[in-house]
Amino acid sequence: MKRKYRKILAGLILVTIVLVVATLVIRIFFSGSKDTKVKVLDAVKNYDYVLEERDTALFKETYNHLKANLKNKDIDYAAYASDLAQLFIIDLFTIDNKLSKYDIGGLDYVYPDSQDNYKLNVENTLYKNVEVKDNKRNQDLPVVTSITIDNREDVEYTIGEKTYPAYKETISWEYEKDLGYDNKATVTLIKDQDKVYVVEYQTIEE
Amino acid sequence: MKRVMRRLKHVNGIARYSYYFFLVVYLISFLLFTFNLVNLSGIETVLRIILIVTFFLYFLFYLLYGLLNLLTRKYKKYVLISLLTLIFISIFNVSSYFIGTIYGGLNNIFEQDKELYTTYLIKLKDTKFNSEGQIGRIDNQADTEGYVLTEKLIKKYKLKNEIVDYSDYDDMILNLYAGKIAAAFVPSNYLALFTELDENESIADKTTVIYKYQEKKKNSTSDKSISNKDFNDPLTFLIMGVDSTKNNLDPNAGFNGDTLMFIAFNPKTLDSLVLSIPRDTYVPITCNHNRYAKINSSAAFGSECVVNTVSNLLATDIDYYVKVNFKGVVNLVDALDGIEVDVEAPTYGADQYNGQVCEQNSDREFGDKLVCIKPGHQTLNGEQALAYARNRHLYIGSDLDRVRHQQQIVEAVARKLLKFSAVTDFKDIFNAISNNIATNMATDKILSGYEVVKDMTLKALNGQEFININKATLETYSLPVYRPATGGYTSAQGYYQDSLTDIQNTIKIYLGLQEQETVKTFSFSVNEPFEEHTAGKGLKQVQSLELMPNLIGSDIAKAEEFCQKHNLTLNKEYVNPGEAHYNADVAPGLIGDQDARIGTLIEELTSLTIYIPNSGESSKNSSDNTSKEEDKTKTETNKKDQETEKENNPDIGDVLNLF
Repeated sequence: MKRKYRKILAGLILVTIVLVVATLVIRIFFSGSKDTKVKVLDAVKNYDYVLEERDTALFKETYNHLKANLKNKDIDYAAYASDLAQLFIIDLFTIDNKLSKYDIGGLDYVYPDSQDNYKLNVENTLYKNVEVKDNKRNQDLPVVTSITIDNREDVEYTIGEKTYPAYKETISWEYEKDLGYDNKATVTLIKDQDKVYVVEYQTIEE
Repeated sequence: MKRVMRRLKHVNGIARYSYYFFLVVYLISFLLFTFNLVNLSGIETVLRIILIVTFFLYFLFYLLYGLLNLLTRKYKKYVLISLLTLIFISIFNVSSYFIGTIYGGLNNIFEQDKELYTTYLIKLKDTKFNSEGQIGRIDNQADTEGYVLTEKLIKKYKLKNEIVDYSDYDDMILNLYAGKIAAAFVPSNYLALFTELDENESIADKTTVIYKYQEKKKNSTSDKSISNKDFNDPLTFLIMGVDSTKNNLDPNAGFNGDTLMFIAFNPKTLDSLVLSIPRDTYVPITCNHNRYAKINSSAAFGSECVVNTVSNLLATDIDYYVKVNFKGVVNLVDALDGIEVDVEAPTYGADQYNGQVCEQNSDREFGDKLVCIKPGHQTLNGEQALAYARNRHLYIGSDLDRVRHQQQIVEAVARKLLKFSAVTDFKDIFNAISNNIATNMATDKILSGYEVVKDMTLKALNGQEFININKATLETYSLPVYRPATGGYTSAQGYYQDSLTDIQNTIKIYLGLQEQETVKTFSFSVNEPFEEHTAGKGLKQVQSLELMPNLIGSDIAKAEEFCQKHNLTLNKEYVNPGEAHYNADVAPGLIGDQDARIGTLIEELTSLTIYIPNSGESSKNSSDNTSKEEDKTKTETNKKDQETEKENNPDIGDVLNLF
């Protein structure tokens, strides 16, 4: 009996050592890049709008409002556009929760054919100096804390040879700490079939 | 201990000797493995320590447990543990082989401390060389191959010939071709350097070597310790292309300076800036008394000269250089299974090859060996990638378009390089790289890039952005410079100063030497696509260099204004009919002739003499100093005027027709 227990014990010790070494090897050698993935908490079915763990309370509130609207049989597209414009602004200008300069806010809401160019634009302008989010990042980055729709207009917008019904939203917002970023702009969104997309952003200087 | 040894003697002989054998072999393999691991400084240090300690502990375990099993005749357990030991021995040997290959490969690309320097005395074929003929030589006493070794060659072969000094290799070779000198001293890379001086015949076909002198000397660039930086800091590199048809890079291979690519890399942000410098850019060559010449001519004076000249131009230190054998591009791209490139359609002589881009192959062969590529986005193999990177004759921009294509290739290779996975792929890629590049970056500095490469590889494998390659463009303009030594013109490229300044500032930002302004405002429209800023591009306000214009037929006030602007001393000479410089085609009182030829670089002038035709009265010679000094003595017009300067002033139309 004693010999049997000794064998089991020796086997367990050996397995433990192997597991510990293997774990260490995997963690050290195959550890992920400094940018870690973000956890998705919720998604609006058929629309690719997501709510992530890192999103602010303001974003979550607006997201939930949008989601409730999109669940209805008769979607209120004006409200849809307003909510989307607000989500776009909040996500774009809340830079503090972004993992790196390549983690582009507002991308999901942009007209699909222009997403690559939008990404290039943001990487080379607003997000150009954003460092990788790790323990060493010491930057003062903006967080949007409140947002208001000042005006709403129904317009038309032409892309190429096609004209779309569109919404022009005048929006103003505030930050946790004013670092000099935009705080008022017009956002134009088009309705293409049953989805709404951001096609234009123009800042309004005060 | 004695007791143990005595008992061991009674153990089965095969088991006993195998035990000794495994112990020794394991120890040797382990020590070799440890040695190789230690060489990989900066790479996964914690992991390496764990491995070394673990395997050492196993050694002790085998020593004791194996012995115990032998002494107690438990041969079954002994065999099992010996098998495990054998597995570890195999792991050590295989790992040592791979690590040794990598380390050896990296060591291989580090340029050796001592380099073989060679100087050649060459003459035209079918000409005779004797003590009467003049020999041309570069008048730069710091130039090892161009001057230092020539003195030794002269001494060795007891040459009594008159030496004619030249400030520029091109001028000297052209004078050799013209028969003005009988022979010339040239550096080891002359075949690559001067191959395009005569479009019809290469220097290899036109000339033959009379004498050669070689000496192994300390590599001046490796000794210079250009930098002590590693991949923990922003770095700058200068890539120099070597046009060789061999598969490996000869450490003493000559390069012609046709491909010069500057790279600034920031390992913290993974941003890189790539600038291709057109080979005809006219700049001061630092090792040749800062005389102006095409930047590729600095290659005649060696790697150090190229590095210093580019460093001076960009106002930034260059940490390391990398010589790349073009033939290696073929091997590397093939090892990567091709690269994705958007091939530009030809813009000059497109009909020549039915709209295709065609170029000689890597062995410089034409005819049925021509490599042709259709325009458009596609996967290029090695030969196609090299052909596209080399071709300039089918594009209006010529060398300017070629450098842009080279940047496309570099970018495509970088992106593909980080997507490889198979071990066999790695070996081919590594061999292609290590056999075809040479650098002054020490092995331990290269290894410091491990964390950066690992980060980039993991990002690439996760489908994330893993490197940001930004291009810079040095805007240039045509600069047909008059060369007094040859009495002809060379087609150079001047750069725009504002373009260069923008590039210099951008480099500083990439290197963390200058704060980059944070952009806090945004605009976006699907109908107005965003264009990424390219450093230097589109800035064409201020030309860096000016050439002497044609003042003939102009009034004196224009010459005065010109001289005042460029701080030149103006000398006026009134000449009568029949005298030298009299121009009957110009009205009296206007400028009939000028001593500085059209196209002379103004930087090389200190004064200008104009000849004003009289109406037939006695000549008046007067000098008018328009500079602040009141020096009335006539000064030499051109510091670099050669004795053979022609008297005829070429017509500006003839000059423009050359280009």
